[in-house]
Amino acid sequence: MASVTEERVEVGAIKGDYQFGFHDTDHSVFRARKGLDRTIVEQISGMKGEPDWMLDIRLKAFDIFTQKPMPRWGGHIDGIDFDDIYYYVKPADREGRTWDDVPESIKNTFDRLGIPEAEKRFLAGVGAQYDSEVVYHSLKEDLQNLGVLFLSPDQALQEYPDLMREYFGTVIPSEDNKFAALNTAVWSGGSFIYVPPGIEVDVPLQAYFRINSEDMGQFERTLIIVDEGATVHYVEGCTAPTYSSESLHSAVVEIICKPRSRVRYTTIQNWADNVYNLVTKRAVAYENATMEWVDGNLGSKLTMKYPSVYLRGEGAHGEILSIAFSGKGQHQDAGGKIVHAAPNTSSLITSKSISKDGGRSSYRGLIKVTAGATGARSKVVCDALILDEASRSDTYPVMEVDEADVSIAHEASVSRIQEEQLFYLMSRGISETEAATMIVNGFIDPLVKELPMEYAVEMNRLIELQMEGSVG
Amino acid sequence: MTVKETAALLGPSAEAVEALSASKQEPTWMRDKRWAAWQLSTALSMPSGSEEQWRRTDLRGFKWEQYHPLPPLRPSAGCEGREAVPSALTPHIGLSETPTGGVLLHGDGSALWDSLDETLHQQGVIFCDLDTAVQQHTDLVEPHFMTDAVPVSSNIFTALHGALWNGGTFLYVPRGVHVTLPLQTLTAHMTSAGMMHPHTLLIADEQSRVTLVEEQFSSGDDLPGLHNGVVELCLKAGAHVTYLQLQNWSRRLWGIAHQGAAQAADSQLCWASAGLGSRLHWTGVNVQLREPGSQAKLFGLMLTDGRQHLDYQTMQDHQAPHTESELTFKNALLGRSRTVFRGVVWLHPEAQQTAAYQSAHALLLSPQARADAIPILEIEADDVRCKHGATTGRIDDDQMFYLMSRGLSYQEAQRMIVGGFLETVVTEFPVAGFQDKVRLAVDARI
Repeated sequence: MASVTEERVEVGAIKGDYQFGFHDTDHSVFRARKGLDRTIVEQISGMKGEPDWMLDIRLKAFDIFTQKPMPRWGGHIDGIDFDDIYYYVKPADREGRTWDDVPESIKNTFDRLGIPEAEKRFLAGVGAQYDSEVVYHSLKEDLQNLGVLFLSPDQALQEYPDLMREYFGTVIPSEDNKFAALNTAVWSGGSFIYVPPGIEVDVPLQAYFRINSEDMGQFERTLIIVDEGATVHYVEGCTAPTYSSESLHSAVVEIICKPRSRVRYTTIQNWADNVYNLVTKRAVAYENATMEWVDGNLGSKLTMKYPSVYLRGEGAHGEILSIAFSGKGQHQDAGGKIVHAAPNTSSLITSKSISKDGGRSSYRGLIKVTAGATGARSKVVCDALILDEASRSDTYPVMEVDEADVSIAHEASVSRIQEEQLFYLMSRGISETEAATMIVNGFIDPLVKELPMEYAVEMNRLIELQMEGSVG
Repeated sequence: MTVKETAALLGPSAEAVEALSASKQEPTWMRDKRWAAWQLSTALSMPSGSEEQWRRTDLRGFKWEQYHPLPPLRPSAGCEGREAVPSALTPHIGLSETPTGGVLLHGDGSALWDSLDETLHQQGVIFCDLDTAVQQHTDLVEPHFMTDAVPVSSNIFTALHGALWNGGTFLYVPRGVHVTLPLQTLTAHMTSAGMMHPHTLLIADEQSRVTLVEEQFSSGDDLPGLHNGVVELCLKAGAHVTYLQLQNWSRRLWGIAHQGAAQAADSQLCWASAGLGSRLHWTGVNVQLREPGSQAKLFGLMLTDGRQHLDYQTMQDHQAPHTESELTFKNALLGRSRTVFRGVVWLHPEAQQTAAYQSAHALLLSPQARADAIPILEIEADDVRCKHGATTGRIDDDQMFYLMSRGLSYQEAQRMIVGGFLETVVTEFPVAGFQDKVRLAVDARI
């Protein structure tokens, strides 16, 4: 508990500023010019020494990206100037295997974010990405010996090209949407995980994503393959410095859950409030597999992210826990999608959102039951809390049911903090802000409970920061 | 152009607009409204399918050019006696065990018969066909017709309706008058490949009360047709209006309907619609709670089979504080049919101290049927109570087993369960005679 107390003191001193808003001097060893064309795509692929088939995929994706219109739903993304973005910034010459290999300045950044401590304490493996490249990767030896792979997809392309070729782009093809196409064209970094059959990785694997350069686009690509009967929990965190101009983060995450596997993917997104966060995340779950997304959205200017599970095998189960906190100038357009494409599949979506200081939180979701998916069961529960009259909360759930033998339910409620609850707490000598913070923390508790300890603490701390100066 | 020549026309056209207006000898202001609407329609295009409201209804089978504009049966407005009513239509008149205060019957675009209780007439209640109202009650019709509750400029369907509307119901209840008996209006589709554009305009003045029951049907169950209707409900301060509708068009009719309610302070609306008929029908319902104290209750029921497609798009638009709305929809699907319920609850920043509820339930009776439910909340105020729920499921095996163990056949058991499922909405319809009408129509179908 000692460390927690220390952190709280530090938080108090920052007074509600974005705590990861610092940035260090740019020491990048290579930086492509701004803007995007075929040459840049070829340059990125060339720098990485990629096989031709990957360059082909990239160039095809680039064509799809240029042809697809900008999406006209969700948030306002017209502020993105695709010509004013650095698509590739290489911060270091090679990926570190030990912490000492990481360049000093970058190491300092991650030290400040607490990565090495976390690794020592409870992680089975950690990856850290700085701008376009993964700068550090480690995996506990015993897992390595069991055949677990945890490395950057760039490395995987060199060392395990067959696995990459078999699965890359199979869950989210470039045609899926404009930003998936963009990612496929210019992707760099991310995580590649393979867990062999029957292996249970009982402590989380973690990745940390950091944008440091101004006008930077980060396009990491994550591919997770969990073989039959295996288990893994992957955690990612995201931060960026506060610059005056906007950055773009557009990731693609593909997960394959083979029969009887269990996968949990946890995200705590705390980008600076001028980052556009447009991410496509999708998992395919086969017979009796379980896929869980735990998705926390606190930062960014606009997030559009709807983690999905395609239940393709009988008895597969999908769960999405989504939490969104929108403060001033923020729009969290979050939610989830579940497609029931096999019999006796089940799913649960729980969404909790909080809007404050003019922020806007939207739940956007889809439950689809295809013909033949008999015995499908699904439940969606959305709760929203609005903390002041300038804020906004929306719910856009879609249910498409093409099969009779199903049970689908959706419910949502929107309210503000009850005066009686505030009054009760304040009558016990608690200040209004503290009381409101307690109520909000209680509101999101079902979700925070699902987070690893480190993240639960972090989450509560971030909520406290966001709540500072609020009147409920 | 003569009336006969009009019947040879296909699809909407300037000639059809001219022929309609001329044959009705309409006053200039209505002619102008028609032509303005026609101009508007020529600048608009059919929905592409990418619009949120039209994404789930495929309009490729909606072919204007296959239908005839319906000329009035007689050149001028006005009704003949009851003996002129075709015998096929008479069973629809009236409500079982519920006396009515007045009846209005339309065959295609023409008023065939009307009646109104003498006392109501003396109290100043106007209940007549819209053509007559256009001639005799300009001061009421002109300011309200497609200007407010359903603006003519909403989209191509409302614009074409404004140009080609033909036949309709006009109801005006003066200030403070309480009409206790329900008024009934019936619209029969009788001509094969006819293009129907009926219009209902209801104006309830301050503190008045009225119930209007509308029934839409075809004279044959396989009569092809096209329907593009509009319903406008104007509720002045303190008015209480109940509007109940049974949509039971032929199974070969393609339909679009726009229904709008504009509610002033402390007004109360009860709106209900039972959707049973049509090959494809899209209904947009826009309830605008514009002033404090206004309340709305909305009830919907859908029963579909075969290849039917019914789409209801509702809007509970809370524009003022202290407003309340509540919506319940239930639909049962058989065969290869498909239903869409997309309901929006919109709370404007001004709409503090409001409460809004929405619930939608679908019962799928066939593996080929498809039900889409999209209950949307857009909340821009904070001091609100807002909830919605939606479910989709099938018949409980235990319930079926129980009923069949009591000697009921599979069909009888199914009918009983579906009837029970829909009954919770039917009992909310405030007119007993209308409930019976809906029950009969439901029973005839399962």
